[in-house]
Amino acid sequence: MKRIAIIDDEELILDSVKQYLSRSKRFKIDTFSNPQEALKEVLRAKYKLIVLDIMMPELNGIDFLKMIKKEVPQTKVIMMTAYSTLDKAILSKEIGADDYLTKPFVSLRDVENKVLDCLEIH
Amino acid sequence: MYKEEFIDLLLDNSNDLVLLFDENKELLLSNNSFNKHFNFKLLFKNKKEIKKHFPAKTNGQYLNAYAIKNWFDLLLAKNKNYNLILEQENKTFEFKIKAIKSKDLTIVILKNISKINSLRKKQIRRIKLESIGKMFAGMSHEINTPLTIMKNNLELLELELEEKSAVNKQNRHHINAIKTSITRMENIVRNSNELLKKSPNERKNYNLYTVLIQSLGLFFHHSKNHMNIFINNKAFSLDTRKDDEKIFFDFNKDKIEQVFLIILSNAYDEFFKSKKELKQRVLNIFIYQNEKNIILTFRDNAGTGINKDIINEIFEPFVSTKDYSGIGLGLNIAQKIIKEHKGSIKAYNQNQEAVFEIHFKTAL
Repeated sequence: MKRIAIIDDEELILDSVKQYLSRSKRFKIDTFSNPQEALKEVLRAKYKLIVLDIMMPELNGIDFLKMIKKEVPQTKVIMMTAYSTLDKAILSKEIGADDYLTKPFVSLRDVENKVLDCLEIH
Repeated sequence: MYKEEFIDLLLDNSNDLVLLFDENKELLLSNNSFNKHFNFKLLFKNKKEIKKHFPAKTNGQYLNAYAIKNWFDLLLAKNKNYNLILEQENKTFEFKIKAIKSKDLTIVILKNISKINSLRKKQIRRIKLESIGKMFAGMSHEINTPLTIMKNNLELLELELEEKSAVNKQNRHHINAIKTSITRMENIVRNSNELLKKSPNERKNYNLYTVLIQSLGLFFHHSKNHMNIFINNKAFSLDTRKDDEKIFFDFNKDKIEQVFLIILSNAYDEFFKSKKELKQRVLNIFIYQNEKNIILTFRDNAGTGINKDIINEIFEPFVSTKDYSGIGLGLNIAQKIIKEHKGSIKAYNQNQEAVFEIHFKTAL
């Protein structure tokens, strides 16, 4: 099972995404609503993929992404943004994010497809 | 130079409209700006011969020296600075009036502030747009988050019901109603933000007819109970072929699809209010091209045409006829997108139908 971390300060979003992705039993999923705690864990544990929100208090997703790319560059990252403009998503792709999701998601199935694509599971 | 000549020179080089009256309220002089504005000619070489004039229409009456004399009391009515609004050849002019009185002379200065007011209105509208734009950017993030939660949980709920084989007509109806409402909110947020972002310039060679049919398809579940759609005189249905016409040019498919959805949604809103029977409600769409242009027209008979109060400014932001749902941005966005494609859109009424006509150039 591939290890995935989902990081978002909105717990209800974490719950719903985790619940959907768990259905296939392909992933071991950890969720974090506190980005500082998440960072410690991400640098310690070996996650294959991180699904990361951009707008978070204390540590924003862009700075978080920079640290991931510096410390654990092999980890894949999908960014999430609730902004309707895509500037931040484009910036994060330039920094090295593998993909991005805009909120509201097209569907949870679309989230799963992006996760599978990113992990090259077909 | 004589004192009088000096005054004449001064007055005739003023941009303000100036009138000079004697103690009997007789017009002694009108300067060039006044004469030009009202197409008024006054012979003042000999100031006692102020009877010659050429008429110009004002408020439906001919403006002449006599009329101006009658204005005198009006112009001095309030003894203070005030604004005079005149309808002239279907245009509205606004003048700031200033009167200076001496024992035997009265000078009335009419400052044309119509342009200043129009610029001020434009500036206010721009500031309004910018501040609302900024507000929307922040708000969209705050709205998108709960929308995500609602949408995700609805999808999970739907899956659970399917897995338990518990989906029935009733709960399917409830789920669809929630889904439609969420989509509507998503569209409002997205449309509002269109004003802020620069459109990506991803244009490819597509068939405009195909995109139109696809947009009508997206819209069909919405529209079928409220209107009949005809495209080039054929009734539209989900079976309508997407490639019956071949109208190719380079455009941004998502953006043009959005234009179609804005126009279709507006027509839908009008039909929704309409008291006509369903079989009488018709949206006629025509799409064709000639050597230079691609022309699309959307004609709806929902009411008696576009409200005359707003028809001239229907593409301006915050102009809406909708009492509750509309914020008046849709057509402004549509026009912006069409202009980005070097096209044009106009709105008019014909045979009691509201018509939106779009032109694109065949080769961009």
